[in-house]
Order: sequence, then structure tokens, then C-alpha cells
Amino acid sequence: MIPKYQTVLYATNFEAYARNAFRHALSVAQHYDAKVHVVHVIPEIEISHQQYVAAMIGEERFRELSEDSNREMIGKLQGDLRSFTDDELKEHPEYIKAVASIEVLHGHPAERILQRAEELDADLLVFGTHAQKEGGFDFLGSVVKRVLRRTRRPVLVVPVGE
Amino acid sequence: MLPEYRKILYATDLSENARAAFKHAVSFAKTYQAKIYLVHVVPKLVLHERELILATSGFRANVPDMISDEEKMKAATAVIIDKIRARLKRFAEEELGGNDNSLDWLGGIEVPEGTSPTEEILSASERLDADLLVFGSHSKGLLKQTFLGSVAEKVLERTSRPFLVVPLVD
Repeated sequence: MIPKYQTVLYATNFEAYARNAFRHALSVAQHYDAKVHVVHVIPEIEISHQQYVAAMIGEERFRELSEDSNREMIGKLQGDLRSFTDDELKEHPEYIKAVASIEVLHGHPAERILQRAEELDADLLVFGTHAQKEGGFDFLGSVVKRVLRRTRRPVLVVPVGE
Repeated sequence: MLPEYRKILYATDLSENARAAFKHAVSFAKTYQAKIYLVHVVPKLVLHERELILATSGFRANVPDMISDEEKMKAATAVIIDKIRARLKRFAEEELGGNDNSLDWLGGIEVPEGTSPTEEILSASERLDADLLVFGSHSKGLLKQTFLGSVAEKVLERTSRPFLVVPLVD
């Protein structure tokens, strides 16, 4: 049997190259009638540091600030998708409906992405990677590399030049 | 505009377990109406190794010994391509249903010869202007970790083209 993708996990970050990777994620969604789950992972500060900051500003305030920053991040992601739709999907704004969820997670990026992929039972993971300035070649981001070493799911990597 | 794939480079060492990755390449090809260019890098074989390939293919039975060494080298390459094509036919029959063995998604089979598979795959991707590269990665060991093949890993570090890595689950 030839595989058909239904659930695409697109791992983002806020850099320009991520937009190109998102184009690919959406193209796959369009062709396969799949859903895209947008995941953004904020690397967690060390637990001992968290405890220290929480102790300094008070636990409640710390929790509030974390929740605020989550909301802010989701708002920013939603804004990004809106401007993507305006800029690039003028003729087919409905394509953005393939996006089934937008999530902000905290923790070790590779771990969290792998865990989310399990939960969603994603059949394709999509990443963008950095472009290396010297030499002109792209290299795999360390997160992507970690994910590739550990996942049993297909991974589409979209390198982007400068 | 969303990207469309037209030319898919599928790099393979022809190991039997590469089939899982190939299924994904075919899925993309059929869904996007793209062509697959299968690239298999042949190690630099010496003449007698080439003769072995020829001998096992029944070549010797049809063609007398009078052909030149150079012609034998060429003939062995042709045998490798024929073997790959036969395998693809079998794949199509087994995976795509009996009546779909046309291989209409096959753009070509390239068997560059070289000592560095990485260089050969990179230069094939340039030559073909491939818009997607597909590789399998190996899954092995008690820890059930997957490992990118060393060739795949080197290519991935150096290409600026999108690539799909398919872990081979056993």
C-alpha cells in the first residue's frame, strides 16, 4: 500500500525561513487533504532557574507571566498565519483551513515535538532548517537532527538559503 | 503559491529494506504527478567484477568474448539498470495493484559510478534540478533508535533542496 498523509505536524519557529517550510506543509495538506498541526516549542529555562525566578517574583506572578507569554505567542502565530494567508494564498484563502491547531509547548524542543507527534499520531513531520552563512551550504538544525535520529515517522526537511 | 514537486530524486543503495522509503517517493510522485529519478551509485568496480555481473545475467551466452573491455564495462552498467527496472516492475505489481505496472511515474534510472556516493547524489540532484530528495534511514539495535545512513546524513548537511527522510521500521 502506498502511504497517504492525513496528519502533518509542522514545527515552527519565528524566523523567516520557517515560512518556506510552512508552504511545503500546506502543499502536502492540499494535495492529500490532510490536516496541519502547528507546534511551536519554547525551550524551557532550567528548572532550578525557574524555581529561583518564581521564588523572587512569587509563584502566582510567575504563573501569570507564563500564561501571558503563552497567549502572546499563540496570538503571534495566529497573526503569522493571517499574514501568510494574505500574502500567499490570495486566490485560495481557504487553504489555510487545513490548519487544525496551533499550540505553544514548553520544554526540550526535540522531546516535545516527538511527544506531540506520538499524541497526534502524525504521519509526516515538517521542519525548516537554518542556512549556514559560510560555505553556502545548509546544515541540519540540531533539533531536526535529534528528531531524525529518534523518530519512526517520515520527516520532510526544508532547508532555506539566505 | 504553494510549492509543487515535479522531479523527485530517490537515492537508494538497493537494499531490500529500502522499500518503505520508496513507497513514500511513489506516493508523492502519484499525488503530485511528479517523476521519480532513481539514483543508485555504483562503486568503482574492476573489470572482473563487472564480468561477474555480466556472467550472472546470461550476457555471456548471447555475446561472444570478442567485445572490448570498455564495452564490457558499459554492458555491465546496462545489466544493473535492467535489474533495477525489473525490481521496480515487481514493486509496482506488488504495491500498486496488478494493472498498474506502467511505471509512468518513473522519470529515469541513473547509475553514476563513483567513490563518493554523497558527491554523486548531490551532483545528480543538481543535474536533474530535483525539487525533492527522498532517502531511507536505518532503524536498528536494541534501543530501537533510527540512524540516518552516513550518506544520507552527509547529503542532508549539504543540500539546499527539500528532502524527505523515511525511517525504515522493521
